[in-house]
Amino acid sequence: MPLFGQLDSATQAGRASTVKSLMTDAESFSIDAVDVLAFTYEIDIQRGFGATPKALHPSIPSYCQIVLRRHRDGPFGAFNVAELRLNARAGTHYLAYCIGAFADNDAAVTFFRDRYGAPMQRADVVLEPRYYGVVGTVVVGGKVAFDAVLEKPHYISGSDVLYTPNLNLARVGHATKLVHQEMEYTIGKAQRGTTALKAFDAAAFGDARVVLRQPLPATIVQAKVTYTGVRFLIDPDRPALTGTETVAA
Amino acid sequence: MKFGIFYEISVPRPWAADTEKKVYDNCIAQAIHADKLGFDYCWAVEHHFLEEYSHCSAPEIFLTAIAAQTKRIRVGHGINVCVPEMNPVIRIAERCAALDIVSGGRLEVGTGRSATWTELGGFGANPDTTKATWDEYVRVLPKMWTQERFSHQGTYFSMPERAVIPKPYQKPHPPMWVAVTSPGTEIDAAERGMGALGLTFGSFGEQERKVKAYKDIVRRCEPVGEFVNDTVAAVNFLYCHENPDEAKKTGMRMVGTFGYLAAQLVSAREVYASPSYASFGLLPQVRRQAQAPGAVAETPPGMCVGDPDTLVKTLKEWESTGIDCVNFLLNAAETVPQQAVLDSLELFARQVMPKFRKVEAAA
Repeated sequence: MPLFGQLDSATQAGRASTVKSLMTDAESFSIDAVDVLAFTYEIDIQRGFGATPKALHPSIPSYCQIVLRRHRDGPFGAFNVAELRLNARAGTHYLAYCIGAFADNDAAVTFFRDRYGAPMQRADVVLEPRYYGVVGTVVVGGKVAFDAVLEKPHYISGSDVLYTPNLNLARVGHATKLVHQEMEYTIGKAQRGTTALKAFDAAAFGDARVVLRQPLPATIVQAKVTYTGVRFLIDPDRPALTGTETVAA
Repeated sequence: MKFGIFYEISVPRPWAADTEKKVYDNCIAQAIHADKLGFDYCWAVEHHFLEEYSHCSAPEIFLTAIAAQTKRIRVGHGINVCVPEMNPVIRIAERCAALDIVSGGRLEVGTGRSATWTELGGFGANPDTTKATWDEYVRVLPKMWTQERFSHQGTYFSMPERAVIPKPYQKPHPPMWVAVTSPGTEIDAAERGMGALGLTFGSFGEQERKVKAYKDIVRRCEPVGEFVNDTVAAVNFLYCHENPDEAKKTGMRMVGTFGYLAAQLVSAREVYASPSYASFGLLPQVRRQAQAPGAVAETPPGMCVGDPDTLVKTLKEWESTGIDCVNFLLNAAETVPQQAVLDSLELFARQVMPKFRKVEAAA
């Protein structure tokens, strides 16, 4: 069988959000014209295993994404989100363990923590097109956690860009679970470019074992994003094939 | 209809010192058995870095061993990855010609371009250009094999005049194929007069549409080689057992394991946004993305897992789609014991294969 992650969920209990009630499909909502900026990196493989929950298989090779979403409007007004996602597999499912996330809007922080169990904290998150590319920055308590530019953008088809759901380690009732957070993307304009990285502080996102190695193409898209209901929960310490429970979305 | 066997050579963890040796030995023994039983083809892939899923990075070596120990079965080098960072085209021409010679003219040449970032990224290849490099490769390979001396000034490859030797034993050259994974590649194959080596597992209806489109175009193609290979091959799994429940249980364990291992790899489509890769590759149809990770797998329609009567019925349906050949994966990560694989091959040859040979004889 493939390799499994080595992260003991108990070591992350202090960082885990508490779900108040799981998001349902009936409550799902869409936001038009969201800018989604994604930086992708192959990472140090062996250290990446240590940051991956035991329920999941690391991808071969291991990689992560720093994804920023700029919502011009929404239930909480305008808000920006940034996530550090460690891409992995739950059985045969393409997913990403969300190590850490930030939003620049208190209501958004509360929503993502309460409904999806996201490890969301308050920070300054900026996604900004400039003449030379698209800038993404995250500043936590006055300290830069992430600063990168998508350079040399050129147009591609929206159908060429792929996003996978998040898994958030959270307390659900009396148990710790990986909570499935899915977003549906209807992509319009899409561009691909290279990454110019100025700063990345993995520890600020929650795990210093994420060591960036090789950059892959970065993408910026404009999309309608729908936040949907939670479909399943996974025991973080058992293989997802046997440790998954579906929930009525 | 013809039948072949198809090797990824998947090696399960834990990897002891002799694990790979045992798996290679098993595969070679199966191929020798298949040769005696009347199977037509033995294909082996070229994959790199695909842990557990495929440890077949030097298929020409594996196929040489098989060719040396068999009499009749044709050896399919499928596929040669036509990407300069992975294989210089001259080396492909040379290796194929040598394999054709030592096999006594039993070589089939598969071509393709890799579907995973695991491989392309490992070699530092550019996913945007693999279709173009493949196209240039398949046009120069037949010339290298048939012209005494060859030179080329191209976009991705150039060389001064040289004799590319040895020349293949088959004249003018071995049959050429294209691995069909991405949608539309069957059209690329047809336009170039190359066989379509199916590597995805679709529905009967989908296969019928692809075959029709292929056959329509290949009739009026401009072949890249000296002749047209208008053969359409599909890939499937094979586990044949008298007891249908046992066949399903063991066969589906193999199918599930294969899909499971494939899902761990990083497809080019996943991380490299490019029109060059519209498909996940590696039999994505056996995955279950739409369900929860723990959902129980059903036997997909058309899977060759069952008792002989079921397999005859299933293969008749495949035959009706217009395909000429089915290549079978026999195992995945050694989930099926070696003796069971050999028994499955034997039962298939005894009770299923004749039902299709008779049709050919009558025709």
